[in-house]
Amino acid sequence: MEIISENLLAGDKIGQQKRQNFTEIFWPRLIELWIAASIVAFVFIRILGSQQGQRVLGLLRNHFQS
Amino acid sequence: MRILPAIFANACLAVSILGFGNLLKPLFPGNSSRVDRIVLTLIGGLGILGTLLFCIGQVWFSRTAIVLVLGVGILLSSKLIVRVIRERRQLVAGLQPPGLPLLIIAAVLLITVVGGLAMPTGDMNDDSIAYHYLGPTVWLRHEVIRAVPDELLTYFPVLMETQYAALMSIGGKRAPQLFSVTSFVVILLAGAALAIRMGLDQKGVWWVLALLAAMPVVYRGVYGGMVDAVFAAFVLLAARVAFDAEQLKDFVGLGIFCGFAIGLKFSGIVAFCILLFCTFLAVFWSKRCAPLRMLKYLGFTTVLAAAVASPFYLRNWILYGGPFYPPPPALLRIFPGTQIRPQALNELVTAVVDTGLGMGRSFLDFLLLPFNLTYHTANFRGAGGVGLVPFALAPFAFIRKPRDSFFIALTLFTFLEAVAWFLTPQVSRYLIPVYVLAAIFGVLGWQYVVRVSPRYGRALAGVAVAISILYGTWMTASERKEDVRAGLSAKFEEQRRLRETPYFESFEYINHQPSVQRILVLYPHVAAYFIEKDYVKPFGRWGEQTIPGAETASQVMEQLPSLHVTHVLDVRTRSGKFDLPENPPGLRKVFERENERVYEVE
Repeated sequence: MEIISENLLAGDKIGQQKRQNFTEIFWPRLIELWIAASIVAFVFIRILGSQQGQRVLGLLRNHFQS
Repeated sequence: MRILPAIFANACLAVSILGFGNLLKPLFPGNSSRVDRIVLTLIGGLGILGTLLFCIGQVWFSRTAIVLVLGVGILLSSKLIVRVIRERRQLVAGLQPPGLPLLIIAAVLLITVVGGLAMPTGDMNDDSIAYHYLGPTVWLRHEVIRAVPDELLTYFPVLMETQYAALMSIGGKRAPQLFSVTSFVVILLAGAALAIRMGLDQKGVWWVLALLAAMPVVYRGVYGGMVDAVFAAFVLLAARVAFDAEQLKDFVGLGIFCGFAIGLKFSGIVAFCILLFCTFLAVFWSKRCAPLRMLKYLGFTTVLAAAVASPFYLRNWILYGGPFYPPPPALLRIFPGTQIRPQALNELVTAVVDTGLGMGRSFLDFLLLPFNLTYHTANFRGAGGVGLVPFALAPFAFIRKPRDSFFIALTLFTFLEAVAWFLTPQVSRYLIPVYVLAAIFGVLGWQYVVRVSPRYGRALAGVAVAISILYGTWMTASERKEDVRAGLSAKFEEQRRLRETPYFESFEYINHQPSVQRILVLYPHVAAYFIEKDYVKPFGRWGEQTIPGAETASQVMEQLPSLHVTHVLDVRTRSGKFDLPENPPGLRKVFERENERVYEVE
């Protein structure tokens, strides 16, 4: 009986540890990744991909090539 | 001097709106904030004044009538204004706006004010030139509100256009442009009212406002005669009242605001149905009201909304044969447009379908909608889009917020509005109510991110907000730079009018030549809004025909004596030719440019 409850307690602790790892480590990193990916996509698609962005890139290209 | 009449007219209208809106004060929600009360007064006033002008305008729409109606509103506002002046310190007490959001809002407001002083320019591709401003111009000339037969879209509900007419009557053609300031303030205040109710602190509310001010597609619904922002404000404030509804007076308020939204646009009906459904769930879930009693109240709300919106629909039913005119495709079978040529209706429906294709209508397209609206905004005629915050940060709002009935109802409303929009023409500015809510969810999500990831998350969220605002402000500034320049320089304004308005020189001739009394305009794509004299336009751009038995220019010319016109405007059509031959019999050429000719009828 004691062994079983000790095992259960240990299992509980592992579960708690996992949950804690998720909320404290994994979840915040996931959020950061999502925001970072959104920003990168926005910069590439909406800003650099726009007509004005292309114009600026063209000017920079010309500047460095010359 | 050129701008003073426009400013005066807008000031009079704003004060009158406040006066009429104050009548609805007893219907404001019990838990309403100061911002709630201000914006409900403004939006209620817009609804009452627009409806009143429309009803009176059916028989009498002279300047005297308009001044009398505005005068009543101004009289009604006198008490309110005295109170505001007396309590001005208390009103602004506790307002401590953070510097950056205030700077952004002030910058966009400045652009709106200066850009709003510019005279309208453009062609028939511009909705305002084609119909938002055309109707009021013709009503004022004829001193009665009737649809303009050569432009199908003037048959639409015209709650806002009646107010544009009032502005034009007092302040000239520039005045409705300056109304963008009121639209801008109204949509920001509507956003603020909901943000406060959603539990955001003052700093959060100011950031919501900054994000809204810098959201190009929201801003597109504000200026240049567009009515989308005001429509969004009606819908959002109806939601504000609805999801806290408890007593009969709340349901009365809901009915009135929804009625105004329906009187402004057909899509108000869809928004109303969604609101009713969400209200039912919100009240049922929170157990604020017995289900049977609530159903009774909602039934009453429906009747009231129909009654408030009825003038716009009944007029069309009585005069033109159907309440929905021109009927949307879904209603064509129930309410066929009896006086509309089938070809014209087909042309219009095709144009509506073509402009509202978006990026597809499959389930996958719906799932990708947040991504596409953020990154491929041009496919939705997105006017620059919504920025990054709704996509990057708003999803986290749904993790953080405790689940109260208001939040859940608003979330469901956002979702259903997006679904309804997805199934109808996917034009981005029609989705402004959802964008306003997305900005609020965005700030809620931002606060959650800062709490969960106080270091990198905070920094990344800050970058997302900064990109959103910088990008949006840049888009808005570049979109309005010509308006701002025209507002500041009379010389540039004249050059711009000449450059951007097709056939401008002919319009100038027609408007300033006293011998021109009534003009025949043959080409459908000439913007009749710029003609300040009575005109006859036999063909509209959708294929409308206004003269019985005349299907071609030559058939129109055969009926010339019966049209009682003094002049004829003939322009080079898309085919590169003029409609009339070089020396048409019975006409004398009095004005000519490369692409335009004006003839005098001999």
